Amino acid sequence: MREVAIIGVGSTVFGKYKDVSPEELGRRAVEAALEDSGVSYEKIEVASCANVYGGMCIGQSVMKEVGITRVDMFNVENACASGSSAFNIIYRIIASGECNIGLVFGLEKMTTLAPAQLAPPETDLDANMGLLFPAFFALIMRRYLDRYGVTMEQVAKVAVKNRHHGCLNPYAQYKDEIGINDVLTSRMIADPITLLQCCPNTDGAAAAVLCAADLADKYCSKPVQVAASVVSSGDYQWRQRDITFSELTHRTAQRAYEMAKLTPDDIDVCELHDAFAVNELMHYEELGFCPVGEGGRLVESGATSLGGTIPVNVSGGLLSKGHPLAATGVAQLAEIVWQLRGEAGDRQVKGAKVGLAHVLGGAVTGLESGSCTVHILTGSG
Amino acid sequence: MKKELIESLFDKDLFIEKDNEIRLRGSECPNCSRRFFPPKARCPECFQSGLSSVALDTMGTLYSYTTVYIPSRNFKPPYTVGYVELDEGVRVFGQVRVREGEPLTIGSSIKVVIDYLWNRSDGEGVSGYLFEPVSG
Repeated sequence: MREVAIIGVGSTVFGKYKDVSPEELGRRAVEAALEDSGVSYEKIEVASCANVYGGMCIGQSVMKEVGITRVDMFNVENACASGSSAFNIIYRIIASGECNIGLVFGLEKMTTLAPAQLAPPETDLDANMGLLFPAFFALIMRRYLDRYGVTMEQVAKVAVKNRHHGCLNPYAQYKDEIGINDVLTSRMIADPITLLQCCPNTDGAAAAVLCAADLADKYCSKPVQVAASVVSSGDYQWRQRDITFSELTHRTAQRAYEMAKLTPDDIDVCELHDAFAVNELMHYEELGFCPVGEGGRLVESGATSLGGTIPVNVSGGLLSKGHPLAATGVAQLAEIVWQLRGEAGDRQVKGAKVGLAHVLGGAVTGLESGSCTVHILTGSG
Repeated sequence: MKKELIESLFDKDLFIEKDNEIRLRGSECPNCSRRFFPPKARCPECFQSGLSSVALDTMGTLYSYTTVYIPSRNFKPPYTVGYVELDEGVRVFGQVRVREGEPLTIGSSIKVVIDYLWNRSDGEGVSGYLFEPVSG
């Protein structure tokens, strides 16, 4: 296997695009990434498109608008982890030596194509019994608070922190600060999860151009190396007797650290799956940023805020940047690339050399989760 | 009444009659004796096929719960859902019937009951399993 680099990234501003088609959102992100990479269109050998709600061959619909046809193409669905899974496919194809340059993009038009309340598919037993994603995570949250004495204020701090970060990010959906009390007194969704602890419905697209690392310097003055790219799937719920710790996230992260020959202490900046505020605290623990049960204290200490020792979700995260499902995984990687190139503006983590991106996706009856991805990228600082 | 209940069950494969009662149908692996719900064709622990049908316990404890204030496919808010751990260790998700003045807690004793759950779009009632707290 050979080394792979990211030589270009692009994203739309995340938000609500009532009158823009999903294909057009995809086109904007793809063209931005291609322009950023300096690669001419005919160099793209392979592409993968991530999307959940857009329907058949949406990737080809985007690519025909861009003007790139007849390349090897895949459409990928892995719930929230679709974008990062699509990235992994291109990574593997280039690492194997089969292709030199490939494109990945994720797009989602949540406002018009997704159901108002996100749930597993209609055939899923638990979904029929009333399992919506906020309910699923509320069940986990109640056990987590009960077990470790994590406070509602510590959970709310995640939403406040990520909103503050989002205010510094021109790509984010929300641009107004909120306080702990706003989070706690916002409308109850699934007790104890209130509205401001939930990520919003968002439209958006993001894209990245990958290249064999030994060719990257030809196109890009600041290539970012893919030190680890790992995709895994969830285990049976009955093997996870304690739902307050995602074995899937932990296992996927361990594989990524091993692949990159790095440890949690080496991570300078992290984008993780804060679909609900409490998830961020649990993921700190699973990713190894603090001991199990210490997530609440870690956010309270300021360590995960911009300027702290391990800044998390400096883009605003899903909570404030927004969560167009299949775009999210690619957008996280774009954010890490900007951070490692020192181009993240007001939200720049100074001197960031190593970044980690984590996504958790999908609920299926009988499984703890659907899919998980962990990526570790390294730059020259 | 019982016949009507059986006819209105939303998925008959999930239920089994035992001692003149409708119970949740689990499957049990002939090799490792592990039990599963919903029933499985093959054991995910030892990949054995030929699992047998078993009537699951009707008693358990509340593992976690939440009251939901947004509509789901079949339920209007507010409604309460939870995970119940049946005495034999199988964890099942479903609706919890909350009684006024009796707040739920983790570890509450629960009985699995078979009753009306929701109306289909054609107005027909659908039955299934739900969880009822047991006082004391």
